[in-house]
Amino acid sequence: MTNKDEYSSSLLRSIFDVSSEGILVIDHETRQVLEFNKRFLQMWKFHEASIETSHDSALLGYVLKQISDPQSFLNVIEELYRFPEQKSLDILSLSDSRWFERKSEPLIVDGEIKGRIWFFRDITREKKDFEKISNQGSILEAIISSIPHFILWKNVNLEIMGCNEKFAEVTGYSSKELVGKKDKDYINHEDISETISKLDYQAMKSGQSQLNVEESYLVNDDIQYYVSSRVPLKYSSGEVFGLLVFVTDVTEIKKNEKSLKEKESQLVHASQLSSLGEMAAGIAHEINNPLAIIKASTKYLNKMIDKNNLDPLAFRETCAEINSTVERIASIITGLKNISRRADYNDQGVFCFDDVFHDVLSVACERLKHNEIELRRSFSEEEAKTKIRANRVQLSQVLVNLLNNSIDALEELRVDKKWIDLRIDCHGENITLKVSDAGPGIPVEVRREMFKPFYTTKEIGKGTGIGLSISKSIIENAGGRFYYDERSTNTSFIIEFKKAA
Amino acid sequence: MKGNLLIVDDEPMLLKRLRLNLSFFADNVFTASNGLEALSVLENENVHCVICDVNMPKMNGIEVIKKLREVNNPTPFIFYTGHGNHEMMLEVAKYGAFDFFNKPDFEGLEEVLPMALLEGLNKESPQESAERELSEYQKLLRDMDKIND
Repeated sequence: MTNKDEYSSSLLRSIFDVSSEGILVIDHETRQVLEFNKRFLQMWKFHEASIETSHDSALLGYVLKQISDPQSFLNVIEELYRFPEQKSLDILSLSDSRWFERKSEPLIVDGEIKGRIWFFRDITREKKDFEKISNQGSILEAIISSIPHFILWKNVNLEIMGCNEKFAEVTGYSSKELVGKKDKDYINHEDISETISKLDYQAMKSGQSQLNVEESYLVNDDIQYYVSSRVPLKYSSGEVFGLLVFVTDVTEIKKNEKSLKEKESQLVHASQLSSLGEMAAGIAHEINNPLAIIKASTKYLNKMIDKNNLDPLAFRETCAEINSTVERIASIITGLKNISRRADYNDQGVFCFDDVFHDVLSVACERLKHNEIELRRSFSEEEAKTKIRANRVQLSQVLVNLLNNSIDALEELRVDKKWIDLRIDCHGENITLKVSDAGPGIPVEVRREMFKPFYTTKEIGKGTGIGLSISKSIIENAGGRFYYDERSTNTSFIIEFKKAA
Repeated sequence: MKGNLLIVDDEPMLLKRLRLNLSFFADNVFTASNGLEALSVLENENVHCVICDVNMPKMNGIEVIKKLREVNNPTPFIFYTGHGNHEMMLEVAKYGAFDFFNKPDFEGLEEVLPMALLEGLNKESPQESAERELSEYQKLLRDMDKIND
């Protein structure tokens, strides 16, 4: 052996030994093991001694035990013995869940096939990483397609690049068919596709996400409600290359909300009618009294004419009284109309507490008088005329309800002086109306329950138990607050609003 | 002699109109704006008939007639109210009210007043009620008598 040969041989031996691949060389004729490296032993868990002079078949027996699908591996080997010049590449799954990449090449010396070299590389980690990634990919895909919202993404020309199943379903096309389509290509209603394209274009042009935009469309006489978000898709350079559109169908929710509100408004109306019923006796008196005045007045004028004794001054005075009495009836009827009208819950307007007092007190004053209740007005004209934004009819109804509650409570109260106090206070941006009465306050255990619907301490048939709960929801709907004044020693409720600009 | 009339109502304008109209029927017309005031007039004046509202602050009309009957004062009472009902009519019948009218029925009031005043004048020797068209209240009283018989 020359020096050169010795050098090559030891170089090869070193490479052989440090290689991260397991290497095995088998003689083609004798099927004896010619060479192997340490890595090979390690990978297949061989003892060096057991392999030194071993025959391929003994080796194979040991290897096959470790392979998940030994039969197909065996087939490959037999095939390769038959066609010794063949190269082959394969991936082996081991029963201990490792993965090997297997390469096999013929060993050719001086142009003649001498044997076969086997290379084994442990690819377990790569395989796992790959599985993880492909798993994640399919999970993401599964998530997107199963999200019960419409998801689609478009390019800068607003052509669909992709979408989820839910979206495809609603268009009537498959998700593949939708690729490349514009809005007008799959939406039958031109005005709708135009609106959508416009929103898409605006989001894309601004480069800003447009989140939770409410949209409603009239489709075949049926309103459909959607909440959509549009997110421009950008390269890391910031350049917009497309648009992600995320749409939720909220039609059902909206319709339920609407019917709930309608039901609530019916309930409010029902409770209102019952409050009005409590006031009814007072209202009859309140109108019959002025009618009696008018009747007595006209009778008086006739009598004076009969007696030929009509003094012009007395005539004018009587007419003036008739007039003011008619005005009084008209104002009662206006108040009655204002508080008994079914309130449209959307009907918010700007008005002041004075307007509400006008509506309510003309109706309530007879009941107050009848029960000998003094009505105190603890506010200046300026305070009473401070503007607020709410629903006037509903707020009047809240006040009627509070007054009814107070009157009911005072009816049974044995105190020297019965009073109800209306107090207005301005605190910076806010204005409060405090309705107090001579009552000693509401017991703590009742306070906890009283805002719940159908809770009542009144006798059966007297109270519906929904007055306070409805009052609270009315005022909170208008952006105000309605609560019991814990600090007051008398029974006091507070209505709080922001002043209207 | 026509007799003295007391009108009780908490509504000042109505009180004034009733006084102006009904003064033709009476020698003197007194007014009171609640039950307590009415009692003090009845104590100090010779009153032959009372026209009385029911719902009033301080003391209502039913309490007035009740107090009066307790001291055996038989002055005829005509109730004139804005929201009368059957129960209220029965209640005042217990105290022997003369008649009962709902506002704004003014004609009925004018028609009955002379008879009530007459009965008040003759209260020491009460005569048969004069022939007249029966009001709803009178019919109610008659029906009650029939039931009692």
